Amino acid sequence: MQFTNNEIATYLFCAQLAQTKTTPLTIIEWNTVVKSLSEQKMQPEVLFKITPSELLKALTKATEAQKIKIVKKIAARQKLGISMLELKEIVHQGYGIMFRAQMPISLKKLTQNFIPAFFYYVGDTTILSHPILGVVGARDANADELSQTAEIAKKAVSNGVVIISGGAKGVDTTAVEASLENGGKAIVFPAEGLAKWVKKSTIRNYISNGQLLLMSAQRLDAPFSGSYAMQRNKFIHAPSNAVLVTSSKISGKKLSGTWEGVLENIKHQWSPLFVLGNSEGVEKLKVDGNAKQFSSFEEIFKQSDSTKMKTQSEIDEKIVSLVQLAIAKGMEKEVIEKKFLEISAKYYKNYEGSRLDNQRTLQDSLAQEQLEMKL
Amino acid sequence: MYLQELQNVFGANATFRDGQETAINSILNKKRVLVVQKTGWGKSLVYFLATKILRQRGEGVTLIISPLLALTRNQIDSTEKYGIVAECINSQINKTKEERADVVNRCNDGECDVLFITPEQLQNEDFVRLLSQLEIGLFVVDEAHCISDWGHDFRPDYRRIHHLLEILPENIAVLATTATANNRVIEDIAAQLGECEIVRGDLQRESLYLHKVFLPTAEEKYAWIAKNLEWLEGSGIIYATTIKECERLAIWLRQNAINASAYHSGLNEEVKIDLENRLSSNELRVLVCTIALGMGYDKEDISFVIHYYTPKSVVEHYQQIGRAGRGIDQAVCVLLYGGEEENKINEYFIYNSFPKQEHINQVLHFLNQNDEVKKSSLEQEMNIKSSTLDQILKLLLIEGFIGKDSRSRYFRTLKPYISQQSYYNSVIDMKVREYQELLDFQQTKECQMAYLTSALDDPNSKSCGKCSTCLGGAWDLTNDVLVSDDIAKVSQFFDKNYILIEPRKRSAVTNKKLEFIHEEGLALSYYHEQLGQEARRGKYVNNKFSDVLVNASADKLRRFLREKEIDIKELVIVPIPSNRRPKLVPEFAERLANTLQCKYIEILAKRINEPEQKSLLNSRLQEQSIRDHLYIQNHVNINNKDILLVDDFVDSRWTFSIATDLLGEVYEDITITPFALADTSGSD
Repeated sequence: MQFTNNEIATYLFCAQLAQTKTTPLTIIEWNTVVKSLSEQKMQPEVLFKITPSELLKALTKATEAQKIKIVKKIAARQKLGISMLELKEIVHQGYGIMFRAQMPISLKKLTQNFIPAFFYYVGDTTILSHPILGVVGARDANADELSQTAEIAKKAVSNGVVIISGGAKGVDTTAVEASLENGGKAIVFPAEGLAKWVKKSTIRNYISNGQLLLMSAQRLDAPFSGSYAMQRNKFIHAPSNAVLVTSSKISGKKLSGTWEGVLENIKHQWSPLFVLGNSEGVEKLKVDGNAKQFSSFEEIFKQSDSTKMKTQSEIDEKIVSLVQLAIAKGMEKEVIEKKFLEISAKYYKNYEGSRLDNQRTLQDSLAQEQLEMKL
Repeated sequence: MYLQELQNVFGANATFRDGQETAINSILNKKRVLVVQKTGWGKSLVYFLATKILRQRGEGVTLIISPLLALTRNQIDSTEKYGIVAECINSQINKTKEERADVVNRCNDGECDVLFITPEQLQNEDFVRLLSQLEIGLFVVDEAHCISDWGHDFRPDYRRIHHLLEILPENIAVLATTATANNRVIEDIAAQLGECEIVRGDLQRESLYLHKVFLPTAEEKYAWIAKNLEWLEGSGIIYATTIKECERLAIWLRQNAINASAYHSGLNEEVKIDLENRLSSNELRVLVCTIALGMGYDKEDISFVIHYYTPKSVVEHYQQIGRAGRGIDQAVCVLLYGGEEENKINEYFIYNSFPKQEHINQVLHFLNQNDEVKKSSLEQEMNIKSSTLDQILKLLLIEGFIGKDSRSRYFRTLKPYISQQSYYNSVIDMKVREYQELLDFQQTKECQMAYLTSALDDPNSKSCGKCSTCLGGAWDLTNDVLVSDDIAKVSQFFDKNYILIEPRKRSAVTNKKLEFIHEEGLALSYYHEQLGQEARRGKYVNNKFSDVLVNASADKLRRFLREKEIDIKELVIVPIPSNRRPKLVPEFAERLANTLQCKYIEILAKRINEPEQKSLLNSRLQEQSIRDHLYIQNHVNINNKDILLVDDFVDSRWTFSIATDLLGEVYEDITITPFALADTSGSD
């Protein structure tokens, strides 16, 4: 894996790099930088050489308070090129880095403010484009809830649905293991860094078989972190076509991770919720009409098929109205067809080209990415 | 362009040498540059002057990776001249974490401009973490041919440099320098640098006077060296292949009243640095060294470099003779060659550069099946020589197939394994070709300097007019005429020089100290020497050791035991038993006892089905196997006796050590001295 200058810049300014004793940009700061630069037809790679005063001028999208912080953080890391050895060696050991441009549509359901500048991963990333069932639930779910979870995960395999979970004990692990042991696929976003997971020989086997994908926004050797555990909930809810809540408390004085994740999903409407069992959280979801009893894969994934159909027909309508507009403006049929092909060809060239021809087209694709994220 | 800066440092008349300004200009434009120029061209001027200008522009420091062990006095002086400050981090000067962090802080605060570190330090994870805090503007790789040869010579230290070159952001300029590179190496370095400018000059060194002498035996080589060290002036370096050879040569030289010391990888860092300093200050006249002598060792007035053996390639040879004549007008470089033995040793090194695929697979398979594994469990699980296992782990680490955690446990990474065998084979083929080039050098009738520089693809290669080939009969810098008396002295020395058998002190199985350990023992010969080969024939061809061996052993033992104050009349000879050749050693031992006129008793025996000792490849398995099979069969009273344990060959020393352990437990007040016909360690 070779990196473009823009990718190296992204890593240098956004990765944790605790060893450098400096602070990375937050997601929001990074977005501000990218937007500001893109407005002036500049790309992240300019950050290697930009002077503080030039940068101050360039940060058109930042508030005054942000400007000071950003300039300080960038100046502190600009000359720390040696620290990029970390990036090289991570990849040398078989890990991958997924920058925003490479993230699949499913992750982009998250708004821009939630998407990290990159994920660390190991395994086959195409698993992310399968139909996905998110499975969330308590560590201390009861035996009945666990056996039902396992049963559903097993059925997921025969329905070609992959499981996504947070890799915690209890529900998470039960679902993932049931899927993997039955030849299925799974995605795990653990609450600790990936290094610990990859040292286990069984995990490595599932990864090399193409069954398991591990992803994390944390550095590889990060210990378990409660706040990251909360943050990662959205990585499970957002890409899912449906989420199964098997057992949950309701947050009281002590926050319940499962419950907080579910509330976030409801707020942002990332994916439909289904439940099993009768834990207090599950009951509340049903009463409030926020979730349905888990029925069958046929029914649940058909429903998400109908969402797809809906999107399709919306787009059809938009194209029709554009064509009508063009005709009204007096354009010929051939011209309209040609334009359509040209514009879509150009779009795809730029979009794909961002990886191949990183120099010129990345900027366009970054701009597009920003647009997409705003949707 | 930068003449003003140059003249500010060196005075109004100073001018750049060819290529220096181009190189500086590229660096200042953040380009990557490869400089291939001979020693003395002024590579340090390029990076020091560039540093000065970069620092004036507010850029970070210059980080120089150089194999130099210590920053020499004159390098610090020269940076003062430029008005910049140089520091280094090494195991001697700034040992503690705090001291090192302090250096990095000084660099970032503008109090230091150039930081020297060694490639080895990049292996240390803590150190790399510290370097991650360093703000740099220029990255320099000194002796850059090593990044090409990392596969060649197994320098994992250079792996990180290779990685850094691939990932360093474009705001950091890169300069790679070398004085020794052929086209293949230059292409290889350039490929690693990516887009780069190459500044290349001619390699011919005016101060070097080359010579080669055909001397087929060790005796002749030793005699030539003793004679010519009287003849040659000044101080210098002798290169030998093995540690044992270095030590024996150094003893020989000291016996000839020449102040010499051996220098090799068996010594610890402090001792090595001390030896380098003593050669630098002329307290020592000669270092007899293996290739362990750091590449960066820099003494201005080395006036001779002698090769006791033929190096493995022209690059290595040129590198080593390049240490001579840096600051003086005349230095003599002599290659002593000839003898089957030297080729065997070199070929052994070449063909065993890489471990067997079968062994690599074993290690990988085990790591695949497990989570995290300590090296000791690997040793226990598989029959692989400890040094081979180290080599395998090192290779797999370099190639990213395995990782090592902070507690030294190994684990498999996710990188899919692809056999590297065809790559290894191509490296071996290349080494064979490069060695052949040097074998051809032995025979060449061309100018020796021209031969070497053209082998290094120097476009301006030409006859030097000063080597022994160019001068022919007019060559008078060495005295190559040896008389029989010279050689007789060496034979005598070899005869008197003991090959010692040191006791094992710690069990490899329990890692506890052994209760009883033997005295320093004696081997009659090295396996590859004449007597060693006589013993080989005795064992494998005639199934009987000849009288020559009995008599030579008796002669040497008489003297050795006298020096150890052991009375031969009171001595008891005890043979080491073998079920494979039950009579061979006992029969020899008994004849030896008759010749020495001492007692002979068979005490030890072996249980059946013992695997051949040489099939067991690591200490743990070797010791265990001997413990499982060797026992005391004949309980004769030998309390209060001096015992001589006799065996044919000694390699791992476990047989002697365990036999001693067994005897020591049963008998009281005994001393045990081992004796073997040949020391086979290091040969195969």
